[in-house]
Amino acid sequence: MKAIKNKIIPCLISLLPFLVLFFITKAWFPEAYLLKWMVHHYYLGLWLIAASTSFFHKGLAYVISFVNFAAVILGQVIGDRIRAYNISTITPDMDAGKTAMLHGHPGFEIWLMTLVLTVAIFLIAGKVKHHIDLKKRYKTD
Amino acid sequence: MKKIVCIMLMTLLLMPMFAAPSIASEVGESKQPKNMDNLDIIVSAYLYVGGIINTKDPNTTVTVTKIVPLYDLDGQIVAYYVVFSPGGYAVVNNNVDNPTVLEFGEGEQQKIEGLLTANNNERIVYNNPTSVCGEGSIKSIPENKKSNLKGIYEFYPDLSVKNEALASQLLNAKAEVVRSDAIHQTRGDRDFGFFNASDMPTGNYTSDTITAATQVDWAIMNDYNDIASRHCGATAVTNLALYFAQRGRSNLKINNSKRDTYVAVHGIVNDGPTLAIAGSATTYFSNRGYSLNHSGVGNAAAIKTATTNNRPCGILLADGLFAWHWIIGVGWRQYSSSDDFYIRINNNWDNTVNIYYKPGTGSLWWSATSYWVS
Repeated sequence: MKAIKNKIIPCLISLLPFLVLFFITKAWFPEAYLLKWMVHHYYLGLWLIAASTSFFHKGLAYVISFVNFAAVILGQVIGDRIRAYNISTITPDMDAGKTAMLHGHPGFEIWLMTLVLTVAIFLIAGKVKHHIDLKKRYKTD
Repeated sequence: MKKIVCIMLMTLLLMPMFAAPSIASEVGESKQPKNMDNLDIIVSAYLYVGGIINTKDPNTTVTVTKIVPLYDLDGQIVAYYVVFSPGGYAVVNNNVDNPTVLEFGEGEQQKIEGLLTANNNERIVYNNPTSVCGEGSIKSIPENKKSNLKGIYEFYPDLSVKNEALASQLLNAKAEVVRSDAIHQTRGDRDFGFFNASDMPTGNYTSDTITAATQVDWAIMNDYNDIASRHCGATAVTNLALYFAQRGRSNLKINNSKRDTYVAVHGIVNDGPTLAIAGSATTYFSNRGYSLNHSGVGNAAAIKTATTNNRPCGILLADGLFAWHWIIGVGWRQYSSSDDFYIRINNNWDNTVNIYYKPGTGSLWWSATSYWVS
């Protein structure tokens, strides 16, 4: 029973950020670019990855879930500002392609880079820590 | 010194136009200048600056580092400042019918560079090579004194007059540049390397276009920036619907309105990035009572076959890690001498199919799918 609880609780914790994000989107920001895109694409299955990862590596699962949450918010907020600035630079002489490009929201790239970099740093830090721990153990032995 | 000499030469060249307009049988009537595109600007400038650059090293690769629009007192673009690397610049008259150069020389035009350094976002007002200032300084002049200001067309009235010789020279030079691939469309600049029909190479070619492509009132992305973002996918599906509506499937165009159609399509496709549109397109067509079929297209032969069967193609291009764009292929053109193959397209930015894409030039052809309604 305790073993099952130890699996279920991390799984639920991993899913929580996705649920909160979904609720925020539907309740308050249904038209926000990145929030809407995430809902439309089912968060690219990250909720499933986080939930399954929680069964054997809850630290990584939490990183995926919570960093994803933060990365989505960051992508939306910073993306809004960048888009607003880009639109302010549009001049009547610009061609249609350039104008269309400047109206594009860069939130997707910001989200993806934040998530990938943070997870990568977490994994590398884990490897380094494991390596250091091994070295310490062999030294004391 | 060389810059001053060049300015004087240009002024001398222009003098006969002032003194004896009857001599120039090739000079036409004054009318609204025809605006230049980037290819016009670069070729016009290089025709003058090329000699300076190539003197140093004939084999050097020349790059365009800057194209800056220059305005008149009324806020219209009257010229372009072009800078090449290695060092050379030109100021080109913004008139395809009279692509003369107002000044050119080694290095950079210091007045313009000073203004760009001071404020990169301020428009530059250009009246002549020695009268260049920021738009802000014009606005600060009292209204009653503004009428005393002389604009570029008061210094050079013939800039808006057609010059057959120069216009013809530009046309021929452009055709040669495109034919010989002398100007390389760079990747990663997000313009995807499209050619206007007027910039296409001359020479014999075979071509084909799907039925009714030139009659479609195509949707363009900038009409829907208020409700969508990164929506080339949704625009492409809308254009597929509009094309087949033009071909008789009228229910695909909701309320006979492009916008209503777009809104319905966008509700299914959503904002980008989106790597596939076939499924969403099928859903929309099904909702409107039609069965949409699709098939992958991977090469020029398949594009030709699709065109023969009057099937538009949704094509996904990549011009960088995060720069992707959907276009609609409506035909093709292939030159006899070089075998160069171009796809005729609607780029989802402009309401026209007089645009071409050369596969692999300016962007990668990532995927393509032909569509037809059964």
